[in-house]
Amino acid sequence: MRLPLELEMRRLRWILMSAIAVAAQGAMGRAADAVSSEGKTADAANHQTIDFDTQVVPVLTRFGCNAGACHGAAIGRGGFKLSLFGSRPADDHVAIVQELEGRRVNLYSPAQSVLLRKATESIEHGGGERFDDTSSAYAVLRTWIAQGGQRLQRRRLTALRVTPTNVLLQDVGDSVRVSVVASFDDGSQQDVTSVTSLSCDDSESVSIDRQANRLTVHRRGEHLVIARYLNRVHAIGLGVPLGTKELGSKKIETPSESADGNRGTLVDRFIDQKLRQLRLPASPRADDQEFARRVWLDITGRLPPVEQLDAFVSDRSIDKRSRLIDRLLETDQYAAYWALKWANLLGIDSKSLQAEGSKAYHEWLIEAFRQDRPWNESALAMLTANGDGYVDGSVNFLRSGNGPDALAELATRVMMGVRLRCANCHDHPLDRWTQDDYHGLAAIFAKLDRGRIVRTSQRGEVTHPLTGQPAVPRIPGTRDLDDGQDGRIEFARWVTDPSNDYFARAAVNRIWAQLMGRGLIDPVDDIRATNPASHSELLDALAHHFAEHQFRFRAVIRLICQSDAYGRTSRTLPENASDSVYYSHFITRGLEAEVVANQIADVTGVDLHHGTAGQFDAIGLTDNRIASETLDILGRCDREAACETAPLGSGSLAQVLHFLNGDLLNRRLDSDQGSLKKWLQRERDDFKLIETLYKHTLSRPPTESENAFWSNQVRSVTEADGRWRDAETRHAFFADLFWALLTSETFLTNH
Amino acid sequence: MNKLLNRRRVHELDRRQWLHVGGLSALGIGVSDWWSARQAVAETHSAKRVDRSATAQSCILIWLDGGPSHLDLFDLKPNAPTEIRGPFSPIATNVGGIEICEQLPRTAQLMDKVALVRSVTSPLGEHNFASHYLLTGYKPTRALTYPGMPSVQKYLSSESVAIPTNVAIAKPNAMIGSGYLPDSTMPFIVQGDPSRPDFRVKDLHLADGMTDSRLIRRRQFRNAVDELTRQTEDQLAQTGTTDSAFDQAFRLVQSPAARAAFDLQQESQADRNRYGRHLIGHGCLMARRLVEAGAKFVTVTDRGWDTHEDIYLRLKEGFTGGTAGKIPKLDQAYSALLSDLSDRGLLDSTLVIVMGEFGRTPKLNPRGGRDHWPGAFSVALAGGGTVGGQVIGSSDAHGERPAERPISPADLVRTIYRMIGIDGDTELNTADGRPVQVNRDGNIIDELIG
Repeated sequence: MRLPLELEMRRLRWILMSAIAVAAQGAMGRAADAVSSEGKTADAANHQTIDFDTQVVPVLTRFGCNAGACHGAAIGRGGFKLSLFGSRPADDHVAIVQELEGRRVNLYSPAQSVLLRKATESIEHGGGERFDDTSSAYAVLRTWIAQGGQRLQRRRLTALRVTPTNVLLQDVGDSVRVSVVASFDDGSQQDVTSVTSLSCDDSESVSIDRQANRLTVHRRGEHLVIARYLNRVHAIGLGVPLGTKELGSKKIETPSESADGNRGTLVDRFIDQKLRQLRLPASPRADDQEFARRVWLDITGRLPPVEQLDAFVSDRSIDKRSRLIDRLLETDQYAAYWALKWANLLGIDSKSLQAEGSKAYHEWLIEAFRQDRPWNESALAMLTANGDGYVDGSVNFLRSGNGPDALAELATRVMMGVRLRCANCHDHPLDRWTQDDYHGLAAIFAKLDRGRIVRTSQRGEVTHPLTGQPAVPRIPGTRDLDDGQDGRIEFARWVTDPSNDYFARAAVNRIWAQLMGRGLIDPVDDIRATNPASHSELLDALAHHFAEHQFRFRAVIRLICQSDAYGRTSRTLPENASDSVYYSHFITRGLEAEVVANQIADVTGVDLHHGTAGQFDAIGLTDNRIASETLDILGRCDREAACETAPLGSGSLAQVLHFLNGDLLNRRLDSDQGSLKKWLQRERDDFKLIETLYKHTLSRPPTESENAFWSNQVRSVTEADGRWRDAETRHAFFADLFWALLTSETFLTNH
Repeated sequence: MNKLLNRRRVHELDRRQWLHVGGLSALGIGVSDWWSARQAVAETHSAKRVDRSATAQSCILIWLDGGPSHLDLFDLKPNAPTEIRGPFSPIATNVGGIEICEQLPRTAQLMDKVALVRSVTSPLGEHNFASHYLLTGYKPTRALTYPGMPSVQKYLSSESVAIPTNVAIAKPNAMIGSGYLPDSTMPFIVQGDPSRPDFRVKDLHLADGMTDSRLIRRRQFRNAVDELTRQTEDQLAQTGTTDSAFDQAFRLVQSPAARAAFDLQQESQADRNRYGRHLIGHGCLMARRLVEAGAKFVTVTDRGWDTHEDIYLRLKEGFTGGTAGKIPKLDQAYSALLSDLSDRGLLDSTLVIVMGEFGRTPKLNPRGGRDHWPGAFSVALAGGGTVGGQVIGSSDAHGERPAERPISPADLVRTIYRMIGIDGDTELNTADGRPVQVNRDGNIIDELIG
């Protein structure tokens, strides 16, 4: 009977849950102490002078007054403008107390203040009633006005503790109470839960009860609630196992328990832990052929040569996968392919760099991958380079992008994985970045001559849109620069400093996404507190591993490729078929146009030309604008919009029609020099021929049912005695079979 | 047992049944049987949930990508201060009391067919977020990517006509994708600029030596490769497609009539000139041909409306001293499309929408441009049951906010769904079995349909 095992599993789960619950209670207990030491917000309002910055502004945020859709809009609303989410309390104070000759507040009769009468909709208010006159929010504002409506700057927020940060609930319908405690620089602490805004963009999954500050989860899986108090935003993760109890009590087959002695890597510790928590069963280990095809494509951008594939499969040694990974990482193909990936995400574009600059840049990248150059060294070189972009490849990073703004966005996207753009027009509403950060970094890049020769220039500035004055050069989120400091060097040092979490995390997250089909943080260029990683401890561990290995890519690629998670089959189980986040099975993804082009040329045995100078190797092209109808049709990256990952080819009209009727495949299938004609002549056994075609395209022999299917097909077109009517009939049949393989999703994806 | 399983998409269960009956056991029967078994499943899988009371049989969306300026197209403010008014003046239209931009003279003469909604309002002022809202009716969330209207339309109708039913002319906005629906509902994209002399949809005709019967065989073989790859391991692919781009292309090349719909050479020079020798003109011309041939949702994407600088040059002149800006081209294409559809008796059954993701800031910026402004903007609808010759809603004196009848993108999208016969309350399912309404929070704009 399986009862004892089930009980055992339940007990284990119970222990796990209790541990989490205790941790949460601990945090809440501290929160409760803090509250009792100071009393409730409304009471505090009666005894103490209300602080505008830390008590009034949060009310405006909590009730949506300063949201982008209301008075927080760039030009305000109804003639009343507040800073977005209260990011500039000084301006807000002026707007409330001084504008309109101070009519918004009535110091003699606070309840008559326009501010309060609007908010309670005692007079006409476009935004309706935000709160009533019995609420604590009302009490805070009224008391503050009664006390003179001043901005005392009594204290500043130093820390915010939001609990829970992550909680795993048992079932849908379960809920958890939120507590937010603020610490200030005057030593005080305050429970600010009631003035913290809580939001979830998926209201069907999580409901928020503001009376009790309880979050109730209505759907399985993991969800996110964003808590905002002043300029701090925190994400609260809520999870309910995806699998039901019955399923969860079955033993989750994780490859680390598999028989081949492979214990998995540190990757698996975190991946498996999450799978167990969510009660998601993992798909089994990929067989050797599936693994070989995957790792060859991922590391070299090539299909495994058939002899090497066969040798790998027949190799009996236990560490053969790991030796294969090491071997492939040493190839020139690895350097070329990963340079292409990074050329795509860096947006190396000969339109702005000219063919010469783009070539130098691309070759510099290839060399970086060949030498496994530490990423911090490369980044430093790219940011601080001076000289001729046609000669020194690293110079071209600074030549990319259209102006200082674009360069600031590029640098932060590539080196930190963040989207700074929002902060162009207003402080980033979901992140820490301010307009000062954005224009301050742009100001650093403004001091550059960015022609073919790049060098620091004394001139060049950008205008801060708020002040209309030149923006002060600034390290984002950190400090303004003094006159005379070289901004590029300061920024380069800061961004590559080991203490800068963004740098390593952005890089390993990208490497992970390239290999695993989805970033731990997704999208990979949107790292922020409110977009947490699916496996945050794993991301930290990978970043640590990267830093420990001198920021070398191969160390991280190796670690990931050796993991059981990477080695799983892409075939799903009924219970994990809908998982696309937790790596319970390998994620199928598209291939770059360049990879597909090379594959077609290699497999059909007929070269593909790109441009006019007889270039055959699409992966090695250094000019992204070289004329190539094939690459256009296959969908090469439009570098003006940088590509982080290859698209899963959904098949545009042009592409599908070209496969059907165009030259790309048809000419190659009919060519006298092509592989098909050779194989047809050499191999008289139809089934050996089918096996050859399968191995060259799908990197595996046909299965039994496939053989049965094809045997049936052969029978239906051959004579009664099993002979082909003529060579043409045979060629046509195999051309159609080959065509079907070459256009199949199975061939055009990595899986 | 498992909710995940119980809530699988209907068509996946059908696929599974097919694999069961048509998989291994089909190996014993001929290809044609195998094929027809597959087709039978394909045809029964999606229940027809498209309402017959639709006022529009098809829809052409002219998407002005980047955010067209409401203040310089359909909602001019001649009495506002110069820095808001902008460089253009309003002109009268053929409907008393309705004025639009002087750069739209031909459109002005068709205003009796057009309903202008001047009070669309949204809080989203970033391109992708705003586009997602306008094209799907949902604000973007982290939890779910929603499908664009054309994909929903394709998903809910099961007609297998020779012409692709969801077509995008020029690369469409990324937010118009299939969202949580299968990839096979993605638009069929016609790349390139159809107005270029060398433009043609290539590879529409069978290659030399290729016969219809071989084409059919290739289609069967190709499906067999993918189906057998999955089926051998008893696995159902998430990307399972019921009407993939390949399926549509196979039908297309086998139908001379459908192929011809893509061939602009068949139009007279006069007609081609009437629509205009530019992307939006020839895009509209091709849209008309496609709708005539049975396409259900054609999206024509015109880029370049993100006019942060020099609107006079960008919107009117195109180049200094010229008349090749965005608005004259739109005027030419849009007016030609409406009158052509009308002449052919197609306007009553074809809904034509002109919109972008938001409007532009009322106040001109120092570079003579206007920045993003979602607070109030305009959308023009015509045909397909639209009550023309009316203005719905209005914006305030400076075009900042709706003055009356605020309309959200959700309202607009629900109304469009209603017109093409889709009930906004229809429930769809995501891959993991989550039920999602076609539209939530939207109210139908009754006066638009009458």
